[in-house]
Amino acid sequence: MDLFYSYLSLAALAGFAALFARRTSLPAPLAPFAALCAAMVWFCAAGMLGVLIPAGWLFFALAAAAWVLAFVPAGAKQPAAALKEPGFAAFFVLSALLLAFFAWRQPMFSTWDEFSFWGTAGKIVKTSGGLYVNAEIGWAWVGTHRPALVVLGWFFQFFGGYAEWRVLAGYDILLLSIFCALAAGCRKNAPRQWVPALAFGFLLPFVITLYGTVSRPTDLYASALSDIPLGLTFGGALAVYYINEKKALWPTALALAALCLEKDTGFALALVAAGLIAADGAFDLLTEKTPPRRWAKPAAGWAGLFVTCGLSFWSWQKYLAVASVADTSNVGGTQQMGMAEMVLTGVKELLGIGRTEKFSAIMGGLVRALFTSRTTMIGPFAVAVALAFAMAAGAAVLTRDKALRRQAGLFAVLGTAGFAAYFFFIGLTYVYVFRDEVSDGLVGFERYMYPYLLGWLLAAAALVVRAMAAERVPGLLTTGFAAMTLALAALVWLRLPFSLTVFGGGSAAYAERWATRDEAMDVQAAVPENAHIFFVSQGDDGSRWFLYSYELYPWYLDYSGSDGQGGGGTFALPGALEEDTLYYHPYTADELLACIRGRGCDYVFVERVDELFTSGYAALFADGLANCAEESAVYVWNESSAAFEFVCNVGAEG
Amino acid sequence: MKRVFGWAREHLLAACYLAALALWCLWALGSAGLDAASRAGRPAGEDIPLSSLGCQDIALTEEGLWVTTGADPQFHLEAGQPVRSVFFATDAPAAGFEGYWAGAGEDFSLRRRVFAQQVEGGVLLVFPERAQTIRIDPAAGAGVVLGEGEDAFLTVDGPLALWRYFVPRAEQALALAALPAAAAVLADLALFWKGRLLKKRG
Repeated sequence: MDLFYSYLSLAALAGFAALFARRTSLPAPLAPFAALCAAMVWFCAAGMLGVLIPAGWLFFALAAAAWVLAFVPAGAKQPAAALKEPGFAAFFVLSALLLAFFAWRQPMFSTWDEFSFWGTAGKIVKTSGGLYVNAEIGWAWVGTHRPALVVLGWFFQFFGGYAEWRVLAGYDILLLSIFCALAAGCRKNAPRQWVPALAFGFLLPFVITLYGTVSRPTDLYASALSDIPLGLTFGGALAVYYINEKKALWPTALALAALCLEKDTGFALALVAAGLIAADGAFDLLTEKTPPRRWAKPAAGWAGLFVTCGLSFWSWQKYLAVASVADTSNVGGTQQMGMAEMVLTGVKELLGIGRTEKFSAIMGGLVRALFTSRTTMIGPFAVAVALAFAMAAGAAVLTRDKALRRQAGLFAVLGTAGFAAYFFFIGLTYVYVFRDEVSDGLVGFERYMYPYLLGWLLAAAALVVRAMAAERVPGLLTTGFAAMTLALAALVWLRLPFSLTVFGGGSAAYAERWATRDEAMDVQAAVPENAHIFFVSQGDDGSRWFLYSYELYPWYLDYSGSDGQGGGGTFALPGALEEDTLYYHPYTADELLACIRGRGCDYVFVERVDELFTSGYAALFADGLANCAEESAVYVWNESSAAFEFVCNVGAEG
Repeated sequence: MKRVFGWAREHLLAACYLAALALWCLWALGSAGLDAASRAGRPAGEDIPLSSLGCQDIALTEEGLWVTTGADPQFHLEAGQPVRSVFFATDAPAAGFEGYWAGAGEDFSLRRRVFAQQVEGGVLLVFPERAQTIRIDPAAGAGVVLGEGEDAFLTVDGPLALWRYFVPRAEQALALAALPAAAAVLADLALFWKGRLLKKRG
């Protein structure tokens, strides 16, 4: 049934896409991406205004109206004709297949960040019907991340119950819409053009974000993290601009507005995209020797893009300022700087004014990593940079369309400059924001670079695809692009065993998650929803605690431990472990009891005990912890006996 | 025939997928036929006691239970003749089971891996080709009870429903999804260049 409900969301999207195809003169394959971006912006705005559910109903009502308006009155340009556009048809066929496959395979979240934010936020929105900023969560909930992707996942489960596969499918459908937009520039009956265009998009995340020979399961296309959608939305915004020859800016503006609401760094990417587009338009007018009086309209359009980015970015800041208690005025980190101050200081240091040793060391390390670290399947980032440059330059050289040649040439140069600027910006965050242990090792450096590279390569592909429509040597670029895509496909096949992907993997990857869920459901059955639950999982590094917090929501799993080192960990008597042991909560039995009761927890969920816990705290439990020696158990506070009474065992064995 | 080729030329992608589907059906039927032929004259299914298999991280306890004891439990099976399927009568969840197969002199590989299906009374592993060297990973960790009794066994080459031959396994699914598209691209390119070169010559 959930599959059917997910198809309703897809059908709503199709209504807007059909209306787009009918009422605009833009290529139909751009429609699904534009409609999805509009949906993300719509639901973000509704969420911020506190009317998410009514906005959802209105959205579906408008979609029904869009279906009608797309077909009535009958005219020459019926939307059904759009189905002959391979990019348009492929989007709906592939999305429907993907939803069916995910409904069967039931992929799940698997990474830390999905439990600590992205997945949990999705569950909160579905459960509460509103945004997540002030959700009552047991940990110091950082609900300040932007909501576009979260509400996208919610949109695909507006009807029906919460399911992780529906969130994951929503993300993938966004990516599919971007790949299909690429095919807009292709000739209709030419699979030699549009199949490689789609395949190139699909392969990009594999090629750019994996490296070496992969030997562990990858969560690509089954992930609720933001980096890949962020990069591809950035690329999609540019691709939509380069592919529509009329240079209509509104679909790009929608994409940029969505991009700014996906993640904070989306703003930087959106400004790069808006800058590239403005420069492209201005260069075109200059070379055409357009008289100044005819600059006003296009210039207003470019300014509109920047304003859209600014408004979209600012709206969330404003919302946080009103709705959240978190301080959002600085970018945080070790230096407590505002963003503008960080960039200014960074530029000064780059020019040699007051350059610190830390700046030189980190920037030097980043530049070295650019050329030496194996960070993509095709080599260090420098190779990916060269590929993006070569694709844009190739499009410029091999097209006979003069305007496109200028566009592609300029993009090759400015795209590289944009990369340098983004690279510098990321470097600054290592210098001024991250803690020393992160910045010294350039931890996660590649993850921050992926979005730009993904978007840049996608936009370069859009230029190649457009150049294929007017080749200088007919067939040469088409054949070259097809050969390159085939080579990339072969590379991915060689490096990544199919059984390690979500498409070829088995259920084993999620077996542990299902076991956890069974256990959490048993806890929910044993504990009233408004109760606070204290969590004991000896030896946990926080991951099981995040996982159970997610699984148990809306039941409230307490922070469970000392504030500095809460969220899972090991409870033991003072002196039982070295003081600096990670996540060690040194409590006497009385202190532990005071901690549990002081936090208002009537229930204790003992997920995993060990000798340290049993020997230290058995006296607090009426059964002396006998019932949880082998299996997880739930205990409830009994005021009269002043001890925790055994309630039940939980999980498969319970 | 000319009309069929004309249609295929106009709808290259659909034609390639239809051709792949037809080939796949032939392959499945052929595999079923070959299996039946190789089993001719013998009763379906041969029971092999667990005690005769090579194993790692699996032990028979004093209570007579086959239990996984480590992080990477495995059974190794060198069947007398190539086998298509292995049925394991167990209460352990199929989600934990994986099967690997290898040809002579080959190592086990993630590319030759199949996942198990839960069937009545146990777990079924079906391999895309008949293989003599088989490894079964029955669980992802210690403490899983796989069977009971010293004489517990698994069954190789038991009777297999015909429809199971039509389910793509391991990288067959990838091949079915990707190769027709690649073939359509190559065919379209070939037709394009053929047309272009002929035009030049003409």
